[in-house]
Amino acid sequence: MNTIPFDPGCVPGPEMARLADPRTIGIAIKRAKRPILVVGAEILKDDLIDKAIEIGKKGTPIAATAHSMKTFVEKGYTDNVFMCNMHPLANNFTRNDWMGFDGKGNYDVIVFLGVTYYWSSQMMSAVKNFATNPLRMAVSIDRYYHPNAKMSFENIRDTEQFKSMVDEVIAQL
Amino acid sequence: MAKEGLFKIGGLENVQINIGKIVSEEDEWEPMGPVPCPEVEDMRHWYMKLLDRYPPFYAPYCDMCCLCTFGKCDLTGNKKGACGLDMRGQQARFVLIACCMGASAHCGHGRHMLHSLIDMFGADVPVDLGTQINVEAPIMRTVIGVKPKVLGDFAKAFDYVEEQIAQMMDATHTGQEGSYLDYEAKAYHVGMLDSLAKEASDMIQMIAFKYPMGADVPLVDIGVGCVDTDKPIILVIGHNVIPSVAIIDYLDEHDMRDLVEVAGICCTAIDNTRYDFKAKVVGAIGRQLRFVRSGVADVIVVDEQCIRADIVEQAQRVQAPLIATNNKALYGLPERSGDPAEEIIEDLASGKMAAVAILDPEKVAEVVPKLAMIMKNKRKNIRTLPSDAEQKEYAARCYDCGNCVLACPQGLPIDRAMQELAAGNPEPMSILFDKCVGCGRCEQVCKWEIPIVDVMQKTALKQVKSEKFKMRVGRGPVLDTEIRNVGAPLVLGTIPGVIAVVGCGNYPDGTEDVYKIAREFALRKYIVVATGCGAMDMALYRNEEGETIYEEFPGGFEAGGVVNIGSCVSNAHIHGAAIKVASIFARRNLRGNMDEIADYILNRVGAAGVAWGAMSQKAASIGTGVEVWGVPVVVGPHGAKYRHAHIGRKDDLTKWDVYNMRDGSKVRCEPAPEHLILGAETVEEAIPLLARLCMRPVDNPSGRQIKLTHYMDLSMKYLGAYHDDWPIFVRSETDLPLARKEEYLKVLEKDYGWKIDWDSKKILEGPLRKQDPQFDPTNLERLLKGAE
Amino acid sequence: MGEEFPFDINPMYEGERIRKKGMYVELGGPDQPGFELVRAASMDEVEDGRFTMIGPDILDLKEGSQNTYAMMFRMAGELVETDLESVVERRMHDFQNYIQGYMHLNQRYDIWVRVSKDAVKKGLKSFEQIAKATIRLYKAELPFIEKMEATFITDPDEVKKQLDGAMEIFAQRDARTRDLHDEDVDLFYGCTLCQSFAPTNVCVVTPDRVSLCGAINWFDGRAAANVDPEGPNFAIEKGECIDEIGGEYTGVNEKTVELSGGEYDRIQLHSFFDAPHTSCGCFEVIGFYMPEVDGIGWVDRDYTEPSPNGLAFSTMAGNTGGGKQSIGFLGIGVEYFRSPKFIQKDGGWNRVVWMPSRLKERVKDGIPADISDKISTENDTKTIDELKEFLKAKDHPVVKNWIEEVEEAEEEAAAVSTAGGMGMPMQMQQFAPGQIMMPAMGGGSGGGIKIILKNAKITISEVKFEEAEGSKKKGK
Repeated sequence: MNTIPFDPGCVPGPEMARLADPRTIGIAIKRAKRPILVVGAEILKDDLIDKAIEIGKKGTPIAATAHSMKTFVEKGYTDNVFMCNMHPLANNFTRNDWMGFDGKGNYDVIVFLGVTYYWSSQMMSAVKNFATNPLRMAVSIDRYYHPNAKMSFENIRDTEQFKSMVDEVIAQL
Repeated sequence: MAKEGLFKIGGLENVQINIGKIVSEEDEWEPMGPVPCPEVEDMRHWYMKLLDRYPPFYAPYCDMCCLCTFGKCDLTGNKKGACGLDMRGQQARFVLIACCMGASAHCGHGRHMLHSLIDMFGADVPVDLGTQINVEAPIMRTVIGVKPKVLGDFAKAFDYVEEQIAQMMDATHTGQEGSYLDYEAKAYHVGMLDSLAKEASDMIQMIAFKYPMGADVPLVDIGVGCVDTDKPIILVIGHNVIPSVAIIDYLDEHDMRDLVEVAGICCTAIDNTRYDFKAKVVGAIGRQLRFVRSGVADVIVVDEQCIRADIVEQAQRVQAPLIATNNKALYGLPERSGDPAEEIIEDLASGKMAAVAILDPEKVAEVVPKLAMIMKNKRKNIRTLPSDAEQKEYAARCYDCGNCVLACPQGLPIDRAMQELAAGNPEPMSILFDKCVGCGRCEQVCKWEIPIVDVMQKTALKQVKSEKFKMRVGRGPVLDTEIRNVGAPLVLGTIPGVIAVVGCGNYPDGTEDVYKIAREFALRKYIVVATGCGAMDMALYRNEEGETIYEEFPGGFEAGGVVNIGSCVSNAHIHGAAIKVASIFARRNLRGNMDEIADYILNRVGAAGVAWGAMSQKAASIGTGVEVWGVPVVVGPHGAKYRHAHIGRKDDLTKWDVYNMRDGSKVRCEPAPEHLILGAETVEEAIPLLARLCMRPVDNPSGRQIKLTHYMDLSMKYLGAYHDDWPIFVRSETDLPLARKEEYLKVLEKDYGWKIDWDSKKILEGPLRKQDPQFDPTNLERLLKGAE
Repeated sequence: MGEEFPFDINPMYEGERIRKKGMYVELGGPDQPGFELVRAASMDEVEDGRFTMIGPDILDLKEGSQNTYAMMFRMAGELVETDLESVVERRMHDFQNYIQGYMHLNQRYDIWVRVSKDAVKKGLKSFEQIAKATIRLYKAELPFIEKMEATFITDPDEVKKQLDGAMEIFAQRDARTRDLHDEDVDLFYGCTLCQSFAPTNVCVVTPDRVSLCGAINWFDGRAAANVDPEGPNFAIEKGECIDEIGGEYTGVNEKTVELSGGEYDRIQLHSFFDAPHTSCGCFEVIGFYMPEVDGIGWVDRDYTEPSPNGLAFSTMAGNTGGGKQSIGFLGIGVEYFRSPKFIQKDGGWNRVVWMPSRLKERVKDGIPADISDKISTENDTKTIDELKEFLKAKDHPVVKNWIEEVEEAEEEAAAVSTAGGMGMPMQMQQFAPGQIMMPAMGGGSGGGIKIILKNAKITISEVKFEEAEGSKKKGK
């Protein structure tokens, strides 16, 4: 199994993500009380946004960072999609007094998909190190091995293979 | 005897005169403010104010600390290391270290130049920036309270900065600061020092070398394609312009100037063209490795900063002799300033030595031009890039292991491009050329030793050779008269703001991003200023009419102007412009008054900086310096690796309470600017963000209206939607964008529950606060009337 | 994108240039008559949004042709009055330029308009769309316009006919502006737009005094105050006139003292020396007193050479601004030169001794014929001494004052030398810092201001030694 981080130098420390299969990650999301899907610039590649919308339709709110909102609008799916910048969003994940987009509270499982690698890696590092009490879990269903997540896929080069893995995650929700 | 002056005592009748003490004092150009030459504790209140409103957010780059032998310590989960410092503290400590490195770079470079310039010209070169500048050194006046009159006066700036850096670096030692907030405060302090060091560095070269100023500076050539390959080519890389000026002077004196090309990469290139318009700019840091590899340069001269550490090896590879000219980068080479020039030339030309160090600029000048002429002949038939046959063979070697993609900082799809090339299609690989930042990591991990950098450059060769653009010469400071000219448009709203495009070239998606940002704002009549790699990279594109950005827009500090301020040290003039606003319009005393001036800028000057490809430690100190003077900064996605951000919490509006200097009351303001430093993932995200960050609490209705117009327009254009908190910037109906006023009033009523009087089209209820033309904001208690 | 308009409306199109090859039609301009006119009318006369087209509409004009053009707007509303017509009309240029694909240059009977081919391609088919967009912007910015209608004319005969009437109206307006003076109105208008940068500056805009940035005249102020009385432009009740020549009013004093946060306690509108008007820093021209000739020189922002006192614009400008009263300097707008009350408290044009030739040329219609030749420019004099010679030769009115001063100075010289044995520069405690600013250097010799102290007690807390200039130079 390929556990080299997509940026090989991105080896943060002793606590690194468990390599997990789609089913396991899917179940973790399903079991979450307040999951949220965070998407960014790469969601616009390879029609990944359709997968995001499917996840959204299963009841998961979506944080649309970068300029991904534009495509959500074009696709006509904006309910439960919140446009925001990633930096303040990650900051909010680490603060216990943030009440989330719906005012009902912070999120317990934060799912990353379609974000530039080193950008989301840093954000997950913030969650890993500071969103510990209560514990908030960042998981990655992106096509990279993300050492700062709690669970992650490995690096996947084949796009079709990757997309079907995301489908398997969705199947659990 | 007193100098005869304008007042004459006509008579004294029954006058009693008592004299107190008799002291000696320098100049009385302004009363000295509270804190000249501040120690960190003197400005700490200001730094802490910023940190309170924009608390640090940490994204640790590494979970461990390996700075001492107790380690490595695992700090995951905000644990403490063996010394007791926790993860937050360690991240903040690293921020301070990076800022110290950056400030040392600017200060070291400046001090080094000062020595050289005093040697060359004496310490008495007068500071004369012409009749259109009265405030010649805004940062120096403010921070150390000195008005420089001659070249030698700048030593005071370096003295102060050097002392402070030692103090701040001291604090990074094991067992020093325990509070991450105080580490951040020290980083702010270093950012402020950095700005001063930059100003001194740029000013000394400006006055010694008489760099041109003003809006009408000429356009010069930029791009690989404008280097005349028929001539011998001297390539200079780095930041310290002394050796290359010496070379240019030598060429002039020996009537060789038109026989030899002097081309540059990085800030030396920019500063060269400020000295000599015939010098060529190859490009920014992204072009360094590729240009060297192209083998075009016959001699390579390096000085300091941002040069490849393996430059000797790279030069050797293309059989170009290398001269190192600065003690910061000696590469283990023998130092030969004491040897006769002919001997050095012989050793290098014969190949006996591949490279030498020469620290004496005059010796460099004696060696390099002659060497270049000899090498031109010798290197006539060398080949550096793969032949067609070799190219095919290289591509065929690739078995698609994907290591190159992993090694690439941008994750570029080199694997797929190589496969396509092997199949006969070079285009995908040629497209990568501009997105590639020229780091060479891919070659190291290629199992089949494909020289990927060369292969890529060859596929892009036609495009590369046609890179012939124009860049306006770096013009240094904004003129005082320009500041006065823009005063009315800024308050009337015809200029929505100032955008500074600065910084290094580690872009997520190629150089076009900075062009897009600059052009978008210039078209909208913002004032766009640029420095360094940003100023160079934005020159590499043309509009539909074939104009580069510097040809399309004027070079003055005016609506829709695109101003090349200069090299990285010239960044100081951007702070300078903001400080001049405080001095010229509000007649605030600058001297020893840094916190008041920064407070003024934070509340009033609608400017934002974008360091889209920020990579280095200098970028860290520059960005921190921009922040501490009250201007927000957006970095590109790699900027998350700086470990911190300063994020405003708009859901806690108590943080946005500001004093009204008129009556001492507290006014709850909209978050403007909302953040002091944060990143964005894409250019489409950054652009509306920058527009938003240009709003300020003192905006009058016309100003706010125009800023809101662009913010809303850009949000819709790039994001497809408005941020749902946009109404927070609406204080009354006069703030609403004209063309959509009714539409927005309807939205405010329907979606936000505001109360509208439809007869008079006025907003009755809803805004956070009304616009008060009398609002005179400050964050400093000491400026309130009655405070002493 | 406007929903009902096929074109985008955004301030960023203001500088949009439509060149000949990109243009669909040209209207007005150097080759064809054209004009724009905004008139006030009563509420019954105007039907909101009504559009009338006389002559061919856009699509009926030949592509590439040049045509006559008239845009006649009528506005109505409770606060609408004829005096506001020119203010409103001047905005036509800004608003119509917001329209993508429509270029508007100049004003009144000089207008030059082009419509781009792209705009037509995108769906612009009638002038009605332009008129409606213009009206929408007008009503949004100036809510006192309650109703607005438009008639556009492209029929050459009709344009010519209406043009005559328009020219008469323009002439009447100009006469009104010329003939309206401070004493004719009850209200002046204040402007605090610059307070975002200069928190203590308040401009008082009157019929005889334009704002110093040049952007706001009395009519502009009136219109803006009508739109938003609590905004940065507001009415100032004159109150009682304390000094007619200097232009000092109780109401003005009260308001400006309040809004400047007490920076000063009184203000005179037409005085240079006594409680002068303050500035923010955006003034177009600065006046400076040269005591050697007892005259006032003026230099504009674009003039880069030093003036006869050795100082350039930027240096002198650094001594004023910030909403403070600085005696010896005055920042003004170029139009103030044309005011009949131009610094009349201190002699008006008879006190003016020097200005750059380009500036003098620009405002020459405002300079009284008898003084014009006596005012020097850089072509005649560049130094104080040269200026003195020039003024004497031309017998400028200020020369009279010199003779008196020289006589008085001789009388006082004896008294000074007996009392002046101190040998130390003294710092007078009476003057608050910043209230009296004189040129920092190069002040020249002779002349100056005489002070006679009687029954005074002077306490000096500190005597500061300054190195004389010569000693500062390091030897080479």
